[in-house]
Amino acid sequence: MVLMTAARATAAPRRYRIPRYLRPRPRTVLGMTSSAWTVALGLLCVVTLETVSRAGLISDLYLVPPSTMATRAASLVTDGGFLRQDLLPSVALIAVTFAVAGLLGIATAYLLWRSDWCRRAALPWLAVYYAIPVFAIYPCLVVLFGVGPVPILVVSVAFGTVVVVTNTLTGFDSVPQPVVKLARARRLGAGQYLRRILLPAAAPDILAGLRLGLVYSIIGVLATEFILSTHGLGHYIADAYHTFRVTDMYAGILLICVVALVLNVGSATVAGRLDWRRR
Amino acid sequence: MTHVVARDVVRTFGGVDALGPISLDIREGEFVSVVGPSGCGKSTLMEIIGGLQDPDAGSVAIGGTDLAGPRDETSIVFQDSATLPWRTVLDNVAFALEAKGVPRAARLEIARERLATVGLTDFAAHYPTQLSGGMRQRVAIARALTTDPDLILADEPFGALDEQTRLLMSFELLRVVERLSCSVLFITHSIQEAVLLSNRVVVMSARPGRILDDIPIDLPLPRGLDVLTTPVATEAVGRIWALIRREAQLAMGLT
Repeated sequence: MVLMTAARATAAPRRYRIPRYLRPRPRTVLGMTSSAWTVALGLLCVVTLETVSRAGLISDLYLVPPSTMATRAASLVTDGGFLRQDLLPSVALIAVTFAVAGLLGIATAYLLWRSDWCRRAALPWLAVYYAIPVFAIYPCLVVLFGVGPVPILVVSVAFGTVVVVTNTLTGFDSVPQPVVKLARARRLGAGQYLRRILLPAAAPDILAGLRLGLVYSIIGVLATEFILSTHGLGHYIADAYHTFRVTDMYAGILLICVVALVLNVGSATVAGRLDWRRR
Repeated sequence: MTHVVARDVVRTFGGVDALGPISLDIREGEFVSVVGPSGCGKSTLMEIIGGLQDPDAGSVAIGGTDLAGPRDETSIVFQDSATLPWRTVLDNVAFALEAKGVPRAARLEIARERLATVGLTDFAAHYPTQLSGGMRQRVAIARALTTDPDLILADEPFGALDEQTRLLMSFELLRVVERLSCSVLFITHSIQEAVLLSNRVVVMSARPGRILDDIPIDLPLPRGLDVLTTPVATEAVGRIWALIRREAQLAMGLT
């Protein structure tokens, strides 16, 4: 008996007989699932910020406790003036920018797809497009159109459209050759081909492009409001920053995070339901 | 009655002679297979008869009318099934009718019927990605049958399938086609498949593809797997294989 246990013990160092790459990944680490860790990391950040600022380690000119940010943010969203002057105009502008950028992007992509000549001419510009800081033209537009929604819309649409164009083109190109031939053999017209083949085939890529377009719209609107504007969430934060209203500034930033998170989760849900590749 | 008449068809791609001159007749209700070394222009010939490509010289007439583009009465089954992954199996089968503008209720009824013909009734609500390669090809065959074609063109429809599935699928196709009265042009690289299915086997040369031999297969229908061991079949297989081997060696530059 003793001998046998000893033999077992010497053979034991190889704890696992299954190779590492075949072993199932642990579902939990330290008793927590990955989503639990996501929440835990967020809580850790909040608690750290809270303790650091409450302990007075950082001056309240730079940082306020998250609880104060949240309280101020909550009072802001019940404040009619803030809603009318800042939150709603920004959300409306984001919605309009997204709609215009999305439709314009898909339409432009279709045009480029139809005409190989146009596409080859435009492709180098599309490739370098995001290297150009489009926000630099915003001041010129303010001079032309005045301070208001028009220049914000122009810059944000310019910022958000191209990512929709490139993704939609990728989708249009993904139609397999046999399907193209099938459509030709069945004599589909241009309209039928667009509706029955091109758009459904490209839907996953178009959705990915639209989701990016939404993010770009948010960035475009808030950033231009930040630079120069009389309304909007971006303007509210910039104004608070310039007048040392630190709590207001952080409350505004918190609201942006919430808006972005809600829109992102919403678009992911919609895209997940429409995307046939994930079925 | 001659159904398909192709006369001196030639196709070149950018100065390279790909096909012909080649002439091919298909009688009504005849099952003709085309075998040949890879790259000999088999698929090009099929696409020309299907109206998907225009010949550079020569002419094609089907049913006495000169061919000008794809016909409604011709159905094509492609090698990679060409199923639409965003549609259910039933909607895939109904696609050809949808393109013709048949109302929804009517086209779904026909689609269900054809789906039963290929034995996939239980998979109507599935998506193509949930099916095996052989089942996807059956979906494509069902779709080809919805428009009541008088001519079916098949471009290596079972080329991507394993040997057993391929033989089973061949019998299934034979069973379906026997009941219809349509002509079939069947492109394949499997000599046994060609002998098993056809009334005639056409052997093509290496590029530019020409007809080397036209072999009638006088075997009674319906055929079973045992026909491959009959003298007629073994002789035909031997004759085709001898021709193909020389052409394949030529095509690969081995001689």
